[in-house]
Amino acid sequence: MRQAFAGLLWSKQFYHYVVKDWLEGDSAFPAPPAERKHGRNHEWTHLYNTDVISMPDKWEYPWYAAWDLAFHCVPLALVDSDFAKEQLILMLREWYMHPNGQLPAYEWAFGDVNPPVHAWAAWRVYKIEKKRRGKGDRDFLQKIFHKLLLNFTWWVNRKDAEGQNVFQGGFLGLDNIGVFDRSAPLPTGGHIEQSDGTSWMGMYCLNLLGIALELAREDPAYEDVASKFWEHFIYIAHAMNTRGGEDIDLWDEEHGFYYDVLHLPDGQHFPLKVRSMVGLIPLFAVQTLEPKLLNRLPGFKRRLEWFIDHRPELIQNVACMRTPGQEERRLLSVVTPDRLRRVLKLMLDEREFLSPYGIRALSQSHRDHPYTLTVSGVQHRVDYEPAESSTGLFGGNSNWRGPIWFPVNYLIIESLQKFHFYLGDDYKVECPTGSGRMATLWEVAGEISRRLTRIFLRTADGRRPVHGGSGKFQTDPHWRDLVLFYEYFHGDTGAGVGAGHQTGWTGLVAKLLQQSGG
Amino acid sequence: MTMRSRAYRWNEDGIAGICDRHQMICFAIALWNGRDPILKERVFGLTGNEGNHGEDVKEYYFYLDSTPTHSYMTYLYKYPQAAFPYGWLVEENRRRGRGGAEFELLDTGVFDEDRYFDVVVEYAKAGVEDILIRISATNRGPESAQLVLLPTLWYRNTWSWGSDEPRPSLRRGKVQGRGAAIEVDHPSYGRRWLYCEGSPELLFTENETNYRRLYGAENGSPYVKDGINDYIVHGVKEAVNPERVGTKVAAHYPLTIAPGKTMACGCASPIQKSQRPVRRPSGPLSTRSSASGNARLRSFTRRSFLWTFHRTPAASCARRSRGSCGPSSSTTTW
Repeated sequence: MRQAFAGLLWSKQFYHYVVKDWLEGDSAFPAPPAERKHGRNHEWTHLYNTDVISMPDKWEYPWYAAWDLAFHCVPLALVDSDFAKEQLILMLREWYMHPNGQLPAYEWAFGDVNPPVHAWAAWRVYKIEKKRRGKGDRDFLQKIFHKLLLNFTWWVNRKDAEGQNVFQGGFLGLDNIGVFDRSAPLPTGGHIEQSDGTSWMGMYCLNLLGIALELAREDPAYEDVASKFWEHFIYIAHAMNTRGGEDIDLWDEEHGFYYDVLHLPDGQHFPLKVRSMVGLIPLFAVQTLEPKLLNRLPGFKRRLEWFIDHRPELIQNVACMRTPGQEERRLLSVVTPDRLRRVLKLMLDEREFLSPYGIRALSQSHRDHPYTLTVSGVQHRVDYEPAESSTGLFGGNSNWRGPIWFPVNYLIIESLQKFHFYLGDDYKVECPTGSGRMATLWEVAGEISRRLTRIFLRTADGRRPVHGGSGKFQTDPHWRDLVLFYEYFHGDTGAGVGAGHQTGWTGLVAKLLQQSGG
Repeated sequence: MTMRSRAYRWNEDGIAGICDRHQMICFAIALWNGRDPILKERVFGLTGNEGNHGEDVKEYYFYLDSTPTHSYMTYLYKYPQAAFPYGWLVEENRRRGRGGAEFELLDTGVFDEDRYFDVVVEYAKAGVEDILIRISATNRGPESAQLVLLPTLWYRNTWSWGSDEPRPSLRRGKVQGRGAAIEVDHPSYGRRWLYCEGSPELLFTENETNYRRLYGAENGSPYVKDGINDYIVHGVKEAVNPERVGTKVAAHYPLTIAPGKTMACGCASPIQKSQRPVRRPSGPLSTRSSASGNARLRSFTRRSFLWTFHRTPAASCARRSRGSCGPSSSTTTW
């Protein structure tokens, strides 16, 4: 735990990049090639960075990555919440965020689109600090909320191609997880409705709803905007679960899982049945509403009741708005409790997602049954590859086809805890699937957390799974307690893979250890 | 392999380095085992095109500890005693291709028989304005081995790009008694000092691109970024400035370390002017006079501030009559 924090703190770095100067070149030197002015980052001339920033890995990723940074801020908040808050605010300042509201992704393509987790991080950092200091920093929350409104609006305007509350987004951080390169135009033409794009937006909506409700406690001016995010969430969740007359559904009733849907230019569409993290991300869009809070916000409550009474068709597939659960909480979730049970059946199956070391980004079932799709004579396929990617395809040495990644595992744990908050101890699932052992969602979250921390801890025979097969790291007293926080981990053995000093989001293990008292 | 010769336009790098909030003043270590073709000034790795699975660092370094305020930080670098297999790492990884395993530094055998140094860098702040630095090297191998330790201070190059930024300076400072001092004079930070234990030779050069090496063109000054490299590795005496002034400087500590032993040196380096007091990686340079600064340094080496891994009687360092770097009675272990 100490080394995890050390890595996070050592990975602060002075970062300097002024796009305008870089495009134009320096007066003491020959001008850069003319094409530079129309190439990389030429739409980001407002960007002027000269700050100390938390890096993913100072050697391999010596530049900030906005979505990584959001995850870094959660464990950082445990030891220096002021720094965590400053970092989150910084990304939204005028010399970072684009005038149109987009967050800069990273220097090699500021315009890339990564999952919108900034509001989540802001909310978590606020809550962690409030718990530790006994008082929340409302100024921070207000400041960041206003800027996030701009970013949310950018998403809605740019990434919902048909205005249907279903989002594309493209790359969305998961590199090679899809059949096609998600950053590039499709070889088939048309577009993909992404299960994760829409789910991330649902989560974003709920995070902003949470912040608005917190602010509304002391300032009624925020009640209206809370209603806005509540309703927007309902639209997104509804679109996710049913597209009404169009018969397009990201939910696959037969498999009990969420898949992306490929839309061809001729109007045909069909699901891409890859069993991947993309189908688990719908779990992240979950929030509970406390009855006490609702009673304190009469305006918000009135509007909520009106909406439930008058738009029943939007509510029916969404969440248990009308069936108060434990202690009369209300659940807001893309995934209904019945569907949750079916998704978890796959997620907790050791032959599918559940590894001894966490949740894999791709089901192991694709080892024997690779997903293939033939388009115009070219076969595209997705295999289970638990370590490095076997192809150089989109993503360098990052691989999402099987390994274990901390940021999404962390969100799975947090989501299960939220579901448990509403569903209580009576809702049990088999964990692992087929084992006959029934567990509450809280216990399932704990089990996943234990499996993740096991990557770094010594086993009975003195070995640490993170070190893999390396003899010296496993046995030499001058090496074996030196823990590296890799970018991702082998889906079967837990060995570290990818960048070796990515304490950034793998540093989330410090938060897991802290909350489990490990 | 042009990094050692090219002045960076945007950001600096270094091993276990620290800098101020605006990265005007940088501190890091450089090392030489007497066999490498170049100084070890930065960790080595393969680029995206060179690595069989994309870019990958091929070194072993560890962030051991840090307090949230950075009042104490420590870092470990494992430096092989054999010549670093730069070429082999590049060639073998290229040969293996995507399907093969990555070829790592451990696989080359350079760590066999534990023929390497554990180099530990620690920073401890005595106050907002005072940073104390201790660098210790332990020979894990079976035989005595040589190690050149080069604590290095330099400015990020902000003056060569055509704007009117003034060029700051580093020069040798006066010291009463033993020790060496570097006087830092920067337009934003004023005058401050870095004190080095013992009487190390101070090697001055400029943080300027070596155009002759890279492009066969004329250099504006005979002293360029890789001047200290050429002085140490190739013995080019004229590669450093005899006037003892420049924009990059290293204190030269040549050591011979017996097997299992640790040697250390200390610097008192006040590095940064923080916008916000205390909270940033370091505090501003000391504004003390050189005499009291030197006293501060000695008290630092005598004090047991190494609370995390302390086993070493740090005083042994300050007691040495020559060079002030000496073997301590035990190795540092954790």
